[in-house]
Amino acid sequence: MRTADWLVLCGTLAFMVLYGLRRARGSNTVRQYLLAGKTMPWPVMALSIMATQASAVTFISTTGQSYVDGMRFVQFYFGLPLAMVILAVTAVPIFHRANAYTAYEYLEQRFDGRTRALVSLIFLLQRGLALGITIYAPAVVLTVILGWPDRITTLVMGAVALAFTTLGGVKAVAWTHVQQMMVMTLGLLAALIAAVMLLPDHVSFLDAVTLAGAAGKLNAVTLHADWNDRYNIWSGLIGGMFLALAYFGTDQSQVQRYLTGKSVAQSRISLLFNGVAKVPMQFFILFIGAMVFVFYIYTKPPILFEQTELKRIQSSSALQDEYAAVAARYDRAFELRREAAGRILEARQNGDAGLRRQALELYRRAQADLDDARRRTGVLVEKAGGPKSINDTNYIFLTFVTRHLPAGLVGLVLAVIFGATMSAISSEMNSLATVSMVDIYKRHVRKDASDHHYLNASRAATVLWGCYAVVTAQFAKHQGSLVETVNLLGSFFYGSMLGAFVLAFFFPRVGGRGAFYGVLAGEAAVAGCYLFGVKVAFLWYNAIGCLVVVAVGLLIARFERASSRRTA
Amino acid sequence: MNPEGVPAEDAARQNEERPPVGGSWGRLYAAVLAWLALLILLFHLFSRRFAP
Repeated sequence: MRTADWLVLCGTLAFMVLYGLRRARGSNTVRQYLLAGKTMPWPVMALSIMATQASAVTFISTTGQSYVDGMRFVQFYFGLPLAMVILAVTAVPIFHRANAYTAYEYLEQRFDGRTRALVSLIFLLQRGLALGITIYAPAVVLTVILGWPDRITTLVMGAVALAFTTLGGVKAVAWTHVQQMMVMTLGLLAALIAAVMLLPDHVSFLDAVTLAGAAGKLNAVTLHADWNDRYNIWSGLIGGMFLALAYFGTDQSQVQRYLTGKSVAQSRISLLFNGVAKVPMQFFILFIGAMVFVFYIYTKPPILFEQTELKRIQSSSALQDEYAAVAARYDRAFELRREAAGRILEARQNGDAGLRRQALELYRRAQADLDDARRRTGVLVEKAGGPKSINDTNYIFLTFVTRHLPAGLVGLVLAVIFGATMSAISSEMNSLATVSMVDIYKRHVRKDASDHHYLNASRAATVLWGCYAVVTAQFAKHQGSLVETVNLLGSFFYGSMLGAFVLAFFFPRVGGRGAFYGVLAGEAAVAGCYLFGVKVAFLWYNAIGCLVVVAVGLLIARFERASSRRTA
Repeated sequence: MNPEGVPAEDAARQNEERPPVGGSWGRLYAAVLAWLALLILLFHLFSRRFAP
């Protein structure tokens, strides 16, 4: 990191935090602290909703995902606009009318206290674990830049976000999100332009897109239906819709964003804006990953992007010969791949289909050799006492940014990553504190205290959740692609949470008992799928959990009706 | 559809509240869905055009 980068990074972050805190003045009641006094206009809510989703994971891991697996991950978001429309029609007016602080308060109004408590606890468990991953991702950045151990960097990230969230409440969170989204857009555009500009002079933008396509990285839509395939159009539209319905309709970290709205109309429009903007935004981020891949066709990438693991081999004298052989093979494969890329472009310019086929064949062989050399390096890491399997997806984009971008731009892109993290962490801490205070503390521990007491309790809960997150972040390492891990984690719990709200909204005959046991059955069904290795991609867990809750809820309601008829 | 918990008159009043943009809620919802369909079509054409 050069001085210009530090200046841009620190200046941007300081501006965002100070701006947010300035706008948050007057948050001295619980209603102000947790709901911003229901005064937020739709553009602020819309950007806050988008910023809450966009953590460092989005930039670090999504670009890496595209580098490794292509752009098909974008299909994961196809269900999101459908979910936004459904929630705008159903959940938004109901939550506003309930005049609630949390989504789970409504469950008590509709069912009973134990269903509210159960769903609140599921939320706290799920979101608390996910918060650890959210904090860990930017810690990876600091580890790469500064070389500090990730235990220290998670602590630093957690402390900064905690101080900011505790002081400002939801209003500071939302207003800071506006700045963060602007910086994000600017930083992403700059990263894409830089990736293309850094290509050799003879490689045009169209050439770069052609090469990414030839490498299979532009597979944005796959139409085949396969239950076991994580990302295709069907899992995206159906499974993704259930996941988005659950995330935006039942997860307090999102519900709290649109509960701050002045009116139903303002909240609705903020969700619809997200439905319009999210898919192109993810496409754009994945496209950056594909361009980074093309960049590394011409510039030799490190054999492992995670340098700390590579150092293990380099410091082991017993493995030096083996490593030298693997590295030589890697170098040869890289040269061969670059040659194949040149032939692919030549074939395109000449319109020679035969040459193109040959070049593609050569490219595939070279890529297979590169992958094999990386795999063998992973085995050497294990021999040197490292982890069993290396997954350095999360280090790819960072390596590109820190090693190849010009001074100043590195600072800007890192500001995007840190800003995104701050936005996601602050929303998550804020929502965890809200549910802990409103649904647990105020409901079950201390029912009649002053507003000032609950305001302090909210701040204390924020601090506790911050500490918890820093501890759980230590376990996020070696989880592979963080963006997949965080969505997998959500999919374990979201289906059941969504099922409870579907019963509440659409099945008036189902009562508290049906909802409570339905949610338990939904969780058991998802756990069963996972533990017994049922071969379905994790996105389907959301649909399975939700459907089981609804089915069990309806069955219990039916038995209850039959039983009351017999009694009568 | 009138979801549980929203009395008919309340739901009607909330639907009467015009969106800040787009004219009516129905038109806005249709526009979001049409946008999604267009994106999927464009992405599909993009994938096919640059497939290996």
